[in-house]
Amino acid sequence: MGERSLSDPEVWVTLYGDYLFRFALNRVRDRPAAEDLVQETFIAALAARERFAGQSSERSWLVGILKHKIVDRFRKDIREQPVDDPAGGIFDDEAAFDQDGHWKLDQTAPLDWPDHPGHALERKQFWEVLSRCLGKLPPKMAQVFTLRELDEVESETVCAMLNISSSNLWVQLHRARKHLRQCLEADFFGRREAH
Amino acid sequence: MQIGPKQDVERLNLKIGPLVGWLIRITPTCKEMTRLLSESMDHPLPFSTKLKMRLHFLICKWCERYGTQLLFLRQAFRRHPDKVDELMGAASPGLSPEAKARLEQAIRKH
Repeated sequence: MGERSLSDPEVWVTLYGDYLFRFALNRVRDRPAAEDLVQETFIAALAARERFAGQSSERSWLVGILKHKIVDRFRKDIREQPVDDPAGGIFDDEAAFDQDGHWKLDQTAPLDWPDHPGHALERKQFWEVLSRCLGKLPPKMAQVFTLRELDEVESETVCAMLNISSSNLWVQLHRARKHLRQCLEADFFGRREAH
Repeated sequence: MQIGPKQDVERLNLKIGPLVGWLIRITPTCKEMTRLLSESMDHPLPFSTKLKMRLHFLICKWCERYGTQLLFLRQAFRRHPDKVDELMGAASPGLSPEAKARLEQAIRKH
């Protein structure tokens, strides 16, 4: 056993229930399914208690188990998932470019971000803005992005989990990244000035 | 010298040498570049595409910036995945009391 031991499973629900539930909900977008996943995670954790090495915190250990449960669930539950395809608006590819497909220099061309890059990560405001930006994505796009970028699931696995094609995945990720970059630039890195 | 998109070149009355003009013609548009830069983070691109992207960077600092910023975003999320989950989570309701009771019971049974 490692230097740290686990707390009493009786208090797991109180300590980690809400966190794990929201984590699952952000990914599966279905409350009963998220609750099931949390339960499966606790049961699996009980069975694997002896193998908890104490290298990570109890919470990240549980999150690790939950991530596997989420992937498993998607694999079992293959169903046609219509992908919402918001045409136009901020997720449209056209708006940022002129008719030749080039940046509009005084409107959309990426700015040179000040404070670049590491210091921003230490600031609470950075994460608040980023979370708000992520919250503005359409649900399906946010789900794809969360699995791929926060959970580092491989592209092929995300496609299999959500039953979508590779090209669909790439389009969703492209739009999500484009929006997040734009949103972060507007709300955190500051006003647009002359290039 | 780095130059930007065509209409700015015309507006600012910049002189484009034959080499730069050729690079503008043979490399992807900025719109296409943003798609390719994102895709390069998800699957390997053909060598010829990567070469054209490198050539585009020679004449367009904005696309180069875009690529750097996407990678910065990836690093931010991947180094601190729990920060976003904590903040996103705080806004949404957690487990209901009934669900908590069910979970506690399930744990006790095992």
